[in-house]
Amino acid sequence: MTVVSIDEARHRPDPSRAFLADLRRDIEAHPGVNHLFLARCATSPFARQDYRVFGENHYALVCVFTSYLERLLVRAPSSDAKLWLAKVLVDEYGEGSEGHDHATLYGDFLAACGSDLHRTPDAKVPEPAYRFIREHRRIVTEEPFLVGLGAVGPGHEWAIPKMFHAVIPGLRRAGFSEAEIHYFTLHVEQDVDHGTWLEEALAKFGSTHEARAQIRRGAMLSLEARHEFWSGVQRAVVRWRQPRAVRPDGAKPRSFFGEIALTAWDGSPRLRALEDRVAALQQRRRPTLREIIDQGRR
Amino acid sequence: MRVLLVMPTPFENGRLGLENVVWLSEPVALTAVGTAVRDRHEVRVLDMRLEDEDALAKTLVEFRPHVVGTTSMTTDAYQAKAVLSVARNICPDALTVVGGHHPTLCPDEFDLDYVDVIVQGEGELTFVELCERWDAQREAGDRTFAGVRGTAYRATDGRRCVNAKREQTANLDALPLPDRSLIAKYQGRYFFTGIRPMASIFTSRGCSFDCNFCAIWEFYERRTRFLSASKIVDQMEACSEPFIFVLDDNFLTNKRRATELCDELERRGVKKYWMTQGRTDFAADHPELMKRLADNGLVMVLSGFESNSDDNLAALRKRSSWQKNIEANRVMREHGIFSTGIFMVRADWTREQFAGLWEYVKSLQIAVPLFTILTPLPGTQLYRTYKDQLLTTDHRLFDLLHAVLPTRLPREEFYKEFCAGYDETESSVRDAFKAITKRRPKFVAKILTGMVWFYARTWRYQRIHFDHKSFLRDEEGLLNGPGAKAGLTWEDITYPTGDEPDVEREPAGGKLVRLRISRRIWADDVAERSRAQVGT
Repeated sequence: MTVVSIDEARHRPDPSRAFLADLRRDIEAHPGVNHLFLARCATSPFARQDYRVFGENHYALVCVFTSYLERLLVRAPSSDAKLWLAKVLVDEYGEGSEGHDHATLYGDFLAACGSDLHRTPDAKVPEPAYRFIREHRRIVTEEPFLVGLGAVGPGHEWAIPKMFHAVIPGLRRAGFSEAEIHYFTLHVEQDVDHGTWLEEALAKFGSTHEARAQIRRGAMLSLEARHEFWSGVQRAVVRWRQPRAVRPDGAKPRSFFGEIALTAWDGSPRLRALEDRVAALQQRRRPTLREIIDQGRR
Repeated sequence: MRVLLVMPTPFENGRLGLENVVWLSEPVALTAVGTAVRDRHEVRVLDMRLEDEDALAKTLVEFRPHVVGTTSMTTDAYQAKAVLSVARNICPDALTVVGGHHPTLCPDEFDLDYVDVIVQGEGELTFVELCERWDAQREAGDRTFAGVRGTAYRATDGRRCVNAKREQTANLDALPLPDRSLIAKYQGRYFFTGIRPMASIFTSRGCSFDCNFCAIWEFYERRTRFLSASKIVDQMEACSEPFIFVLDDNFLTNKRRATELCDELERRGVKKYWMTQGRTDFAADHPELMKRLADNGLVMVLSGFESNSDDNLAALRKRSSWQKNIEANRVMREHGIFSTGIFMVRADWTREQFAGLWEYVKSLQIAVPLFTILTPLPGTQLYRTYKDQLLTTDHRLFDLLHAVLPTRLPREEFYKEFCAGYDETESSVRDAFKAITKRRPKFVAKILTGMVWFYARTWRYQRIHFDHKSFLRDEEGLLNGPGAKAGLTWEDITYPTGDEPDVEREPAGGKLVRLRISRRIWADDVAERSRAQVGT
């Protein structure tokens, strides 16, 4: 196999390389990667308590990431693809982390935040994480292989270093030690390597217009889910401080009657009890951490 | 060039904050700056308070601006930084610019690698020059702006350079009036309580008083400038909204100008309802003029009543008295003007002092009392005095609703007392509304639907705001400022008495003047820094 360096290849009029450059730019500019919540982590002095909520919402994603790769590995159409996936999997299983897998590293961070979620496998997966995982499971299982590759490949490897790059200064400001935030710093370094391997792999697969479209679609689906996820985490952080947080109306103003109805709803103890019951029911229907990890293995 | 101006959200969506329910005005500073450059550049204004969270990233991707500018008060400083950080990530080639009160008074906080330029002081002329320079040098990627007055920029070696201060525009009429079409998409969404749809304009800048808790006079270097009456009425006429908020820092300050405005409104037959901010002593001292202003559409005045004690008012350098407050409120009620009074409690207050304030407010029968906590806002004289004693340095808690100095009562008790204010003074609001409805039935009928809308929103907000635990939750983990680290208590804080001597000092201009300014202001820092650079 002839290995061509990326710099060398960039000088050739290669449509797949041009596609990758475009895709990378689009990913790095995506609202999911540049979510205001992440920028706020960098600029606002969030407390450890805020990061506890952040971590508890994020943890499930860390626990199940390898299951996406494993599913794709099984479906990979060629040994090249299998090779790339296997390389990343080895890293995710703990290579370069003194044998600690990423969930274990994240557990250290949670412990530093004052959370014991990593020791509570029967805790329910929070809603934002569950939606994210469900969508990714669907992508790697039901969508064509290249869509799945686009989601877990560029959709993660090119996005994560940039996202964590924003979070790390905030974590340091909140007083976490380098050891406690190793999970995050490792991903900025490690995913740059993954991204480089990935670029080689994608250049091979993205040879046709159709293949390129599938890879892009996968990446964008992943980032849309990512955007939803960060919005959910932000809501959780706000709600932790203000459980009855104001309901902002956003770009579409509520109508006059909508406003009245919402207040009437909030003002009725029965309706609020109903809302709480529905939320409890939804929570009951969500899997526990243990279950969602087991589902991934199956 | 494409220029994107972004009004940041004050807080993360959903947190405590008056913008959610009480008062949301147009981003006039941004429309003013945008108007100044719109002849030569394509300008968009994005008001993030009225957008979804992803609007910024989407707009950056779609609009691909060459300049991204934002503005910042103290509480939204982090959000302004977040805006520029996102802008740098998505549009790395764009010039990032921040201006407004907080960057002017605390520029060092914006000395960040993703902030190219800090605009200090008034922005219009500076922004025009900045855009021209950037247009000429952006191909070369040159982000240095030596000689552009009123800016601080990053030199190629990463050092922050400060240019000389830009002198304020002497004649406000010479500046273009803010083009409100820049925010046309948000029309109808701005409000003050139930009064909406509301337009926002300014008719003067600055304040000639020097209250030690306020940074307005520092920002404007203690000067006040006025628009001519004809320009004001031009603006009012151009507003299609029935209600207008005149955003002046202190509208009630000059009798001749207020009279000229009434003359002009009458001459041109302009009938608008309008609201503004102003001092109570002016209202108390000029009852006839207040009547005339009311006859010409003035329906609400927001004033700093601040306190029920002359000692406290003196300590704040307010130069007014509690009798003036009472008289002003009486004058306004008599003429059918809603009086919105801001009161300040102090962290070292006892239960009796809280009770005394509630009684005072009830006796006033003020229409909209707003209770705040005396906060040494960055940039103010108070901040300079107390910055090493603050319990927190988190700007989100400098929202006048959190005690950033140690409380005398246990914190939970303090917030309990503070939250009780609105319940305690409910009768004042009710009585004032009844009285004003009798005087101005047409106006009240016009805002009736809006008031239902307002009460619906406020009711939900009040559940948070009236719960003292909300305040404790807000500050959990964030009380780690120098005062907290040193374990200071309320007894370690010496509040001003108002007897502090005035000092003579030589300002940057060279002429010796006598000011009630105990210490330097931002303009002195700028002069010193830019002189030092020239020296090097």
